[in-house]
Amino acid sequence: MKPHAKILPLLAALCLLVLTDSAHASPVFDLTGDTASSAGLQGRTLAGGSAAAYFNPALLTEAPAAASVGFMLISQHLAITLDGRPGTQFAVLEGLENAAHADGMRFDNYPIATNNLQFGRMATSRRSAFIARPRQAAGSGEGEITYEVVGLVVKLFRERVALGMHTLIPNGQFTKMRAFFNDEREQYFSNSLHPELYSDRMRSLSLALGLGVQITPQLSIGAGATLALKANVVAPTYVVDASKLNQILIDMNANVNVGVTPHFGLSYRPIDRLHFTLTAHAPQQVELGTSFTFLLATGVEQSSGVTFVLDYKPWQFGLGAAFDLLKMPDQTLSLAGTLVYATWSSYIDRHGVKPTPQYEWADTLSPTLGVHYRIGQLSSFLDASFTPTPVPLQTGRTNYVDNDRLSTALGTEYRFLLWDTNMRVGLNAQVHHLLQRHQTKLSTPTQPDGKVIEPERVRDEVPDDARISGEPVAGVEGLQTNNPGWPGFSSAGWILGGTLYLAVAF
Amino acid sequence: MHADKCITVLLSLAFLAHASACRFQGDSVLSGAYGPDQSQAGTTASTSSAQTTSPTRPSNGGMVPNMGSPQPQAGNTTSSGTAGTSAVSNTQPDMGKPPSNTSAGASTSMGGAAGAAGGSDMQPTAAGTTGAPATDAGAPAQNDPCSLNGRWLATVHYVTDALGQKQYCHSYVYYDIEQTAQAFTIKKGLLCGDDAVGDGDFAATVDFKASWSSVASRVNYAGRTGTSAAASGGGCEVDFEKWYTVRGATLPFYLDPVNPLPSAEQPAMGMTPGWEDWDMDGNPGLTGTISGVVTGKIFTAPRQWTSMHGTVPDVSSAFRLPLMWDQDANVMSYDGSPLLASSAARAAEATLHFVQFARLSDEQTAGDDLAICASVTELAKTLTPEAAGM
Repeated sequence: MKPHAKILPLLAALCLLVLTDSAHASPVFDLTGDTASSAGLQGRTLAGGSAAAYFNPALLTEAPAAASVGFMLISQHLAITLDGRPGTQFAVLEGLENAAHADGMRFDNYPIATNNLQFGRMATSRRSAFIARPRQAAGSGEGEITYEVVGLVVKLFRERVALGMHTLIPNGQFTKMRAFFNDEREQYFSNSLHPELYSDRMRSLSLALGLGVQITPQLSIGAGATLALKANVVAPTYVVDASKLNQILIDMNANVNVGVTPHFGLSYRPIDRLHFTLTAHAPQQVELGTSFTFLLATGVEQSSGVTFVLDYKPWQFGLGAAFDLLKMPDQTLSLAGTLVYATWSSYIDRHGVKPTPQYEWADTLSPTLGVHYRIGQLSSFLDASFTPTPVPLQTGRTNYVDNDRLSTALGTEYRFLLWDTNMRVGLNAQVHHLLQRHQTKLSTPTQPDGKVIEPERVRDEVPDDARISGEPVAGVEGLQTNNPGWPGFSSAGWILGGTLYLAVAF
Repeated sequence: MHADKCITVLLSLAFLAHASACRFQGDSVLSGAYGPDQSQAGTTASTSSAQTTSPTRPSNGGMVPNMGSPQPQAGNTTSSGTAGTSAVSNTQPDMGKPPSNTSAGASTSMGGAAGAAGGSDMQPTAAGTTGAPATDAGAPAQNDPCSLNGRWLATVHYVTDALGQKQYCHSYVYYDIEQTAQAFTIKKGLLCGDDAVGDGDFAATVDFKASWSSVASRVNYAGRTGTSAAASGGGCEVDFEKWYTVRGATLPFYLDPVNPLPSAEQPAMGMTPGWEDWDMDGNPGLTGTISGVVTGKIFTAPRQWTSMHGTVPDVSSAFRLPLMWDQDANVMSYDGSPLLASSAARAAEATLHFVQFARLSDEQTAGDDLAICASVTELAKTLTPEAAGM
């Protein structure tokens, strides 16, 4: 072993420790698979490169010691089409801000006039302007994102122990977290629907660390971790004048904790041509607690806050198998398959809320199949997977947008020797098709007095017993809603990706 | 080997290029219907029910002199003009009546008009006001225990609800009532002042004091009629007819609820009605100074109606009546945050709205109108503590 080879593992370990402060789990890994080797979408089953640190740390023992860098491009085109609103009687009228129930109780919430939302309102001497928030004008399913792919695999103890690190670092915006409501409350913000499992989740920093140990020549085990942030921001404010919120005084008190989310892997090769793997990934999330306290000059102090949960991923269990149909010194032809079971029924959305029991998400089973071929120094693969959506048809109040996904990945890798150093250069491309899906909202049944029977249905934002000054209000009978997903919507899309990488062995 | 490499790379590139060439349709919204026209939005049954009387202009609405110009001070003498003109101007107290209630009131006011021709515009003379009731009511009821004859301080207590915050509003009114048999007429009625006090953590207080003297001289209840008679179950049944008041805008034009109140862009000019700067501060209408957790100024020309009806134990010195009312606050503009222009609605709890009456002695109402109003606003908290409070 060369002298520098002894130092490298220590440097690598130190590097991993330094990087842990700013990392958290990423859904991008699970979408793109191993983009820095020829493992493709079968990272849980086939040995590739540093990405095994996330997908199956046990496979790190079979990966060559190397440092790799790459450039990945993801282009997402997720289209959401909202159905047209069928009539004006469903619109929220203006002038309801002082309305109340027949018993004088205020509404739980007060919608914005539908016309104002869609078309805005000009300023007059009596009213300020209202900037329009047209339906679906602020969707977030389009865009290109580039990443730097950095990986490292080092071997210790006669290559029986392997350490790995794999990270995707988005360019431009270092990371992006965006919370949105999945029901009528989004009218106050973007008034649009957003892809639940893509969008901002595609721009998260991703870092995984792994340790693989070869127990016997047939059996390896591994453990790894992704890092989850838990931040809390408290902003005490002093309100000098409630009508001049632009003049409030603000302090800040923030803290950030880093948590570790483990994952485990096992690789077993009962015979030379057959290979089994097992993996388990614990739930991952980023928690961002935000709270405000408002102090008025009168001494009144009130507070409010919410804990956002971002980039949530549930327990995932993987079972993989690979069989070498052809195994010769200069070429190998392998069939590989992976099944991933994900407990999406435990999903927590960005506002820290579980979907209602009537619209509970489903656990999913996602199969991946592929062919991997190596001839000489050239490897190539073709994988295909189907990922069913865990989201039930959104016929009620909520608008979680997701689709079944059909993914294919195609790649090639070439090994060569340069300056007495083994190197690999690879290129892969992937196409993810989010299959068309349409959902129509069910009607909102009400009692004779107008009270809603099934609260999980689209919410009637103006109760039928609305009164202003105790007098009935016209135009409030039946359903009035600004739910952007009402009366229905469809979604479909494509995600394209490509990666070019270089790995240098040591 | 090279061929294999090239094929694989080209295949990959072709795959990516093909996918990229696909036409993607971005987010879209299918055509649909939104709210009705803005002018229809927000129309409430409340508003329409408040104007269920026939929505016609008052019979004299189109004949009002001095339209658009400041109304003469109470007690001032206008130019004589024609008989018709002076008669109409003297009907101004009647302009507070809802349009459909003109039958009895008209005769009263017209009688007053006749008596006041060439005299006071705002205050019908005693001859004028007493003439009409006498013709349809019969003998005076000096010893009637339900007679309201005399001078009264009436503190109006009403509550508005704006964005969930209650405001306790007070109007301090002076009534000089003359009753004959069961019917009475307001011989002289002054709106001496009003204010609004917020309640709650986010409440604000609105001060209109700067316009009080002007309001007292222009807003008039003279000619308002009602009845007070022994109730079958004991006590007195008292009824004040529905009456409109408008502040900060051309009178009597805007007393007619059919006429939309002016906006900030509609000042009164010549014969064209509009807002008037009653407090002479250079701003439209009346200026309300808001303090509390919200500060600023609102410029308003509100229209309000009230009516009172109830049975009280006796009317010898003090009594209290439930109040029915509604208003168009008509905040034309503001100085400060747009939050100041938030509309307020009448609070739904009926018990929050009432009027407390207290009989005044001659000593308490000596002097001219301003002096009377000064006494009224000063005595309100003492004589009508419930209505003047929260």
